[in-house]
Amino acid sequence: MTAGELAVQFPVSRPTMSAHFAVLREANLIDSLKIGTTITYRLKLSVLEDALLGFARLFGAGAEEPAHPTEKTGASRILGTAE
Amino acid sequence: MSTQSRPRRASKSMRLALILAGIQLGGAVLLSLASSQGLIDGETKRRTVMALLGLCLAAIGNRMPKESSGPPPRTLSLAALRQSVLHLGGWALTLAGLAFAALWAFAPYEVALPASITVVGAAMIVTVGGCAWWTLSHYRSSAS
Repeated sequence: MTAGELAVQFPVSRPTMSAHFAVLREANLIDSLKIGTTITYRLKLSVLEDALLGFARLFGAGAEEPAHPTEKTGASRILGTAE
Repeated sequence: MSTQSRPRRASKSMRLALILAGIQLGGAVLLSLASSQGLIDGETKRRTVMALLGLCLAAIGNRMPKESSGPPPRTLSLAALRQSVLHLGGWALTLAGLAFAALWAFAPYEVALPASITVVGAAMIVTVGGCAWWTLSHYRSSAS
């Protein structure tokens, strides 16, 4: 998921998204990885947060299931990439 | 990217480790005092110390997926590999820590001792096994 695709999901501009990512990164909720010109963001959840999110999904509260089933695995807990 | 906040995170991790160590040592001292005063018996003291140890283990496991020490991964697949290992290890250690604490709190002594060691050992095996499996799979897929 690119930053453009992420931006489509929210009614905000890319610089605003970037500022939000900076805040989330500072709060240790996401991490970013720069490879070449690509920045990849990943979600950082503790086991308790992960379990609570699982319960919330199980009982239909909070975030919806990801569009792509592969996003549920650890290998794909990637929020998105920005070029 | 997150190099600016890295020292702060390291300091936070260190603070958490010191708090956990303080809970362990403080708890042991308090329980020893209570035992010497005749408030609790030796069995209760041992069980409470071990249950505290299990809870500390669970706390460490809980934080494990959020830790990102070491150099940043060079590729996206290596980043995913690292996260998978941390995720598995975190869950295994948290569940093992909770089971360890519950066993020492409620199970008979002759069951708690071997079962708690088995539970933590199993968590280690699962983590190391998962790490080895994913690493091998990663390098196999990279080679092909």
